[in-house]
Amino acid sequence: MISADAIRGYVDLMVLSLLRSGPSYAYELAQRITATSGEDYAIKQTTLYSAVKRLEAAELVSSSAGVSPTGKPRTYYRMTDAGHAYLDAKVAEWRSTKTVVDRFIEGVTP
Amino acid sequence: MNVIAAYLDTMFSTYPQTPRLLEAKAELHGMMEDAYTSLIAEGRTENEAVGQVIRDFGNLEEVAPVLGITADIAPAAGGGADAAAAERHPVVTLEEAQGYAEAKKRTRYRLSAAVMLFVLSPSLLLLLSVAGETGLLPLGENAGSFIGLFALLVMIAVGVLLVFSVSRETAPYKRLSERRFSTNPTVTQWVEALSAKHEPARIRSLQLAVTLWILSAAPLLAFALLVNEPPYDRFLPVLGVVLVLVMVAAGLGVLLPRTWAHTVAEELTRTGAAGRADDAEHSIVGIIAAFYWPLLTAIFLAWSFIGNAWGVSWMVWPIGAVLFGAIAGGVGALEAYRRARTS
Repeated sequence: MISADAIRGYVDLMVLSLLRSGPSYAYELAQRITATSGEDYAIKQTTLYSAVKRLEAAELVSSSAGVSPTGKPRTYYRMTDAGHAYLDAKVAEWRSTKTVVDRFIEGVTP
Repeated sequence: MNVIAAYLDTMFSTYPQTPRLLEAKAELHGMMEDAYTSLIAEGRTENEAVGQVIRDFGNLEEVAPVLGITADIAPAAGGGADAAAAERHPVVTLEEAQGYAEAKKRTRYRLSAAVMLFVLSPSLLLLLSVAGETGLLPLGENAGSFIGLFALLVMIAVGVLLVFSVSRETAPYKRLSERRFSTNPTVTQWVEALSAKHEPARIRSLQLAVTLWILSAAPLLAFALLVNEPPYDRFLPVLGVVLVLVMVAAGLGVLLPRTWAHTVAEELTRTGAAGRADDAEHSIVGIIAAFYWPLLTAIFLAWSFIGNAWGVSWMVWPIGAVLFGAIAGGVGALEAYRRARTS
């Protein structure tokens, strides 16, 4: 199980990557994050809510009122152009971070 | 689902109800609702589903910085801290609420008696002075006025003593009546049930009181319009005014002892923004009143002196009072409408 602290910086990246395939609402995002992570990470609702609001404040996503498949009024989030650019930059950053960290831990056996 | 709503209410209860916090609460509630529904669909029991949803909730303080409401949630350093601290008051406890409701219930007849005495206090003065003046009672104008004035002072004194005794009993709950507290879901539920139980009696007495208030002007109008022979054409309209006071007082006497549960519910369930808006509305009426009544007095005196119309100029008062009621009601309705639109 990954700790909340370790993954905190990457929740924004996860949300944006999920929004690439189309607009979504908070619970669906949480469910897809948990489904994709398997048993390794279960996102807290406040963590996800903070992430979408942070992205919205930075204008990387925009929100609009919609109706969920169960017929409930929900706020839907949609990725903006700035969001696409930001995601690309974040992915590039993650790749180089991963490469650098991997270089350090090479040969370390848990 | 009620458990989830109550949990969120509790989590948010210590914070001021700013629009952004309410929005966050609504969206988090939506997420929890969806999570609960899908857990139930997976075949979990209600208890398991609620437990899981609450475990997955996280930490409210995490939401604070992204909404720019750090000061709302936890007072930060500096000037903002004082403002935020002033808005956050300790949560009302059930014992406090029950004690407050009990005190209101105990003092309800005393308070309404005091209000009735205030309303009735000028009646003897009006009646005896006009009876002496017109020779209907062998008193002489001054003796009648003296007795009437004495009765007025006694009734006001007794009324003030009653108000003092009421406020002594409600004094321990001052922070509740002044809205210096945060709401508590348990108290809200309890007090709303209490209010609902007493609502039928309150509505019945309100209907009776309003009927009395509307009819109160009937004798006055009848006397003023139909009686022309002296000395009754001077005495009976004054008696009509006194009857207005008697019927207004009777209406208050019927209504006031049955409003305590409703009042307590209103006071204990509304705080923060709603409470302040309410205060603002009262202060608008207060400002209007501060200009209105002196203006009315000026009109009364000017009309009476310049037109030498002491016999009819008293009409300024009942008309003015009804008009003021309409203005206060109109301002209240306007504020309520504006609040409904902004929230």
